[in-house]
Amino acid sequence: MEQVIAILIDGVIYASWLFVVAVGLTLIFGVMRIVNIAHGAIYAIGAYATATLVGLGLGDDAPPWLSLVLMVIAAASVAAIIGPFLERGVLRWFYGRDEMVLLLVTYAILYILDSLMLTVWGSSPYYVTAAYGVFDSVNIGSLSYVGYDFLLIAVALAVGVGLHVYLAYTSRGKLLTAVIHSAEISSAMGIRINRIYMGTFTLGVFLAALAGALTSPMISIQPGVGTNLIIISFAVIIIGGLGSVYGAAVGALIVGICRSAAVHIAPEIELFVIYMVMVAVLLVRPEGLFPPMRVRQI
Amino acid sequence: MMRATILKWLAAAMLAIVAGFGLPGWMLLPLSLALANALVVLGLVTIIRTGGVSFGQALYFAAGAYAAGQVSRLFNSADAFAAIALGGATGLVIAAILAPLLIRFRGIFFAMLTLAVSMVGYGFLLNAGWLGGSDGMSVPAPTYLGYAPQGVWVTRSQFFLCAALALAAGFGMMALFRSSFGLATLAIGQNEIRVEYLGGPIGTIMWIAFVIAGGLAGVGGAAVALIIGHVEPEWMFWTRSGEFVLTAIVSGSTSVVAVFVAALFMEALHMFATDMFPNMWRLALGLILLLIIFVAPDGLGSIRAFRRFTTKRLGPSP
Repeated sequence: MEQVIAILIDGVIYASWLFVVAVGLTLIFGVMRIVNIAHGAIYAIGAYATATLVGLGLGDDAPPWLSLVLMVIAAASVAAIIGPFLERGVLRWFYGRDEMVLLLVTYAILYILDSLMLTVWGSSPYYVTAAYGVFDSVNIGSLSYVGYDFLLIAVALAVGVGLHVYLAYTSRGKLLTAVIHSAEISSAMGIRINRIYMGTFTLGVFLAALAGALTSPMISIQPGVGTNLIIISFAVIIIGGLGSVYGAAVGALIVGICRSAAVHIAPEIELFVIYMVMVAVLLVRPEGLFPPMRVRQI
Repeated sequence: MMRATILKWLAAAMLAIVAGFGLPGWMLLPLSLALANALVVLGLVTIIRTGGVSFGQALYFAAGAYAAGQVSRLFNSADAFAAIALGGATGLVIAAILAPLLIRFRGIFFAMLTLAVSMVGYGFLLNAGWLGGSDGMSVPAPTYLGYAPQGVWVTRSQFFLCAALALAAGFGMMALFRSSFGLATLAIGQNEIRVEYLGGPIGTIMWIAFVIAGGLAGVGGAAVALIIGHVEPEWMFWTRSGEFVLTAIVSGSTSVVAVFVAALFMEALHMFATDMFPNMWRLALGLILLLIIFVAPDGLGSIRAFRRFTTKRLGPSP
């Protein structure tokens, strides 16, 4: 019984993290039909930027909660710089090409960002653990959890609910939905697609950078932190159905709980249980669990 | 037609022999690696012609490499030809088993599912103690039908092996691309549903393309394993597949010659750039890739100079 509770709690924590990581990716795909392979690199930049900001702005006597504020500032500044630059500077020249071509373009961007990261931050690891000190540990039954982990759940809920409200209840969200259904007709109706694309891409970048910033206290930040992540978040959004925010939430929960079950029951398969879940889901439902509708074109 | 092909074949073979004897060892090594990688890319290009980009070729590549490493355990001698044959067969068989599952998918799903399957393989390798786990295993220096090269002949014979494989695969694939099968793959890539309505056996064609790619990747992996003398699970990691995709994008899928040129170019870039700017070579690679996608989306092979070498133009491009 205790093991089941432990699996569920670990799973939900991991799922929250996965959701924040993956939702930006699915958002960008849903609106712009771009699978952004550079997502993992942006995540890493978010983590690095946090490390730099915390290193600059936080003396030894500063209160630890300040590092939480710095995380958000780091993510926002990464998004404000990289998002518009990549979308206006690079991606828009490739609009209208095949989805696969855009995937390869973002693959090139991944190479460029990786290289820039190595130049700016070098290859030695950074550690920013201050944020862990903000929260006490939490005891559930006989299990003890780091309080910071529950912040992840809160952030994931906030992001999910925020996106839902934005898409379903605000006029700007409705414009976005119109663009998702048909960019061409929306543009004919006077919606400024360029602006929406830039905004969406920047929002996606922000979410990736935020995920990186949130993760920064838990890992040693070094080259390669984003490499595995991109594949895991693909698995999540493909399970849920590409382009669906709700699918990403369900995918994150499925993957999170499967992984934590693997960690508790059969640790040796932990590494690839995520991919096995993905393959299994795609075998049954080739377009994921909540696929957007498509027309078969001749 | 036939005579021209034989002449080209002879010219290429002469070039390889001259290079093998004339060039110093430090140049033969990257050349051999480039040729071996070109085999993998040649297979990937065959898949790309059907419209899908596989992000999981590292699976068959690494499987071939591990198979080559097993040869010395199985047969008590590290024969290069046995290693290549076993490597190719391993890639082929794994691709033949996985193909029915994978070729049902298109576009991004195909890319991501091939990737996921290769990552399952990567996880398997990390846990497979009998294959050395995360340390990988060493591949003993190969012998050639009993002949054990010494000194500079070690590199030289590796180069000749790779060159022979490249010549065979290159001309074989050239013929294949021109055959009705090769044209059918292009037709599927352009409009699958029309081919289906015309009665083309789409499933079979895609299966064959995928299996050929798996076999070539296995051969390439075995060759690289013999050259490096070591194989590790990282060879199955998705970034390795990504490097093959990069090379395939640089080459494009219209020309066999372009594949070899692209592979040589990538190896040269890798060699010089890692030396001179270790941090920045990926930046250069990314920029080159962007430029190629923007200027020549069909790769080097779409440039006029290459077209002369290869297929006739197939009507107006879409």
